[in-house]
Amino acid sequence: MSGLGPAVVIFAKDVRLELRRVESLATMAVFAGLVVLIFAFVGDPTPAELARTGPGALWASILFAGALGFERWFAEEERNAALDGLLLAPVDREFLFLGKWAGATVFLLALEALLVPVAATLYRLDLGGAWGAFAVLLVVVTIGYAALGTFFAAVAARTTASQLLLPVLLFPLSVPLLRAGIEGGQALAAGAGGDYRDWLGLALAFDVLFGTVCTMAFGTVIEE
Amino acid sequence: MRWFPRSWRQLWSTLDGRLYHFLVDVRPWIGWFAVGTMVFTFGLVFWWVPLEAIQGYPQKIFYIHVPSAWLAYASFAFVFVASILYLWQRSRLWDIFARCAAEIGFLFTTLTLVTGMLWGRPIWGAFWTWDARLTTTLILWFIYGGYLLLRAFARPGIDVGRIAAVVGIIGFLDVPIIHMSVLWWRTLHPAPVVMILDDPGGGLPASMLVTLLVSLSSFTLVFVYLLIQRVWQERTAENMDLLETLLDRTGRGMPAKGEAL
Amino acid sequence: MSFSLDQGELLVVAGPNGAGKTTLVRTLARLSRPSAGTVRLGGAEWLDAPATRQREVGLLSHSTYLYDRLTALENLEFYSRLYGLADPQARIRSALEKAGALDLADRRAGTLSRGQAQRVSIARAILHDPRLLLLDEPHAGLDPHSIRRLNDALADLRTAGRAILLTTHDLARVPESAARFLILVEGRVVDAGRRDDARNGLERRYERAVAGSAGEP
Repeated sequence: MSGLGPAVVIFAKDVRLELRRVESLATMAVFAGLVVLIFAFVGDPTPAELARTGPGALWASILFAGALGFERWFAEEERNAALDGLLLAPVDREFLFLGKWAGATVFLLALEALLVPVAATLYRLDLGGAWGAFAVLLVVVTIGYAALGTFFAAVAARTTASQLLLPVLLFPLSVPLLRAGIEGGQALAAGAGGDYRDWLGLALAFDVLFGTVCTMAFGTVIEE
Repeated sequence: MRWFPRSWRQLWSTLDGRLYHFLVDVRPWIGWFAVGTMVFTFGLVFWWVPLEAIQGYPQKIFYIHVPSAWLAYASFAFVFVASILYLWQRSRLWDIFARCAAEIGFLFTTLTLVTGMLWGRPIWGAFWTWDARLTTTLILWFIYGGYLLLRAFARPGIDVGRIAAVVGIIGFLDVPIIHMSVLWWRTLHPAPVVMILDDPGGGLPASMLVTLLVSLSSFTLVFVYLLIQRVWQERTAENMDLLETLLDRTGRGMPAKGEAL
Repeated sequence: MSFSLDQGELLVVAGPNGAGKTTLVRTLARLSRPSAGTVRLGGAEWLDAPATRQREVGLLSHSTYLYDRLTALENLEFYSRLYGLADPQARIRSALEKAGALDLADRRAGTLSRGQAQRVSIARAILHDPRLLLLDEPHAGLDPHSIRRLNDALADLRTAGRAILLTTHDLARVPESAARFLILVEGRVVDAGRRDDARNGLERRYERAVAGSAGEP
């Protein structure tokens, strides 16, 4: 198959698999929602406090739910050694990664579509007319996070403590994305368009750099 | 590397061997030199360099803290280069090099954090402030930790060196970006207590600069010595294991000269 | 070890557990890299060949490479798309039929018994009609009827000119038509040859080879 074909095939397979077990996506959504909720109990629900904790709560829940998800979505390939089945196929390893990456991105975005309104309501987050710009930032950050997450899920799968190692490796390296998300959102709330563009630029550069590196390095990780 | 001229490729393929043996031979000299400069540094710090006006005695931690930080980050550069070389050349030496550099880098990062905390306590009354550099160093500590945990928990039978190499490369590429984002963060929302970790205001007086540079050199020598020592240990251990495996397999003793294993 | 395999030939690699049969098969399928050695497939260097040449091998092993929540049919559709096969539906039907798994088409892979899953996996392995079919202990978990059907399918493939390498530790189930064999013990080929005499000859040599290795210091 030429071009992105194999990646699309894998993406479609992942979507179909995910739809078959909606209960797991629902579980992730509930978990993420709980994280958002718990952050509210951290301080007093005064408007000032809420405005401060809100973005953190939202992004933290995305981070944690994502970590759960990446491990789960890759674990599907571990069962019945399906990953070997993929390695047997005449597909370049880069396309295998692209397919998994796309799937993780879409699932995470679906989760965020639920989380953002919930967090916005609970924390009275108000971006005025800038929700479109925030959506752009959200998508860019999610793409980068999904790249790292999918990649490190594969790395962690090669260890005997995969559930420990995925967050340990993933979180420190995702700090720039977390910062970009929070700062970018706050810049929008404060009307600081220049700052927003800076953070969006950082996230974009991050995506391009690590998207490329992870795609190229995926083969090294999953092959014996 | 098919396009390299034969002679070049030969040089490359034996470069790690020659480098290794050279460093092992030079090791004791570096060791003694390191001890000497360390003693000298000690002398300078406690008997020569003047006491800093505002901070007083605790300021002297600066002469340990800054070199530690420098080496913590430089060490990661070693991991980066060794990782690339391992992926490219597939020579065991580079994998060992990367792992040992990570171990020692982890050590120096811990030292940086601890000295930073010990310094902060008497000066600002708090063990920790979210200064940009300290924060990035803390994240670096976690990245090192994750790298070492990855090697520790790898499934037996897989070539963890290649996976670790990739993680090392990604980590190294990310550190400047992490630092940038943390720096932007801390300048956008500065903490009420402003950190003056190294510069009391204006440039560093000459005596302090000299002491710092001497300390830096001595720490670097210690680093290099530790690195060679560790690499040598690990390389020897691996060779022993290989020998043991080979002997097990044949079930006989050491082969006679000229006899095939 | 060193050996060759011709088109239309069936080579049986027999050996006790831990002999290296699975490692051999995985290396030939390029799922593992050997530390030394070369492999040539179709006259061309194999181990470093581009990934697109993977379609030339098929592998059947202990793992089924199936997705539990997809039906057998959906699994095969996925693989046929991944391999870029023309006329997938017809090929899938044909593969399922040869493997004797047509009735399992709409069952989710996770609900299948070991033997049933194995049959679907056989269909998956032959789906893309590989030049070289590698079977790692394929008879494990199969009832005699399925074994006979598998052996028939293998005979058909041989007639079509495909090369087959089959590993086993149980000689009773080896197809009658297997002409060549290798006996592998602890990573070494200790016996090889053609099976022209009765089955007893092969079994005796096998037992002797296994016993011989146990006695070695």
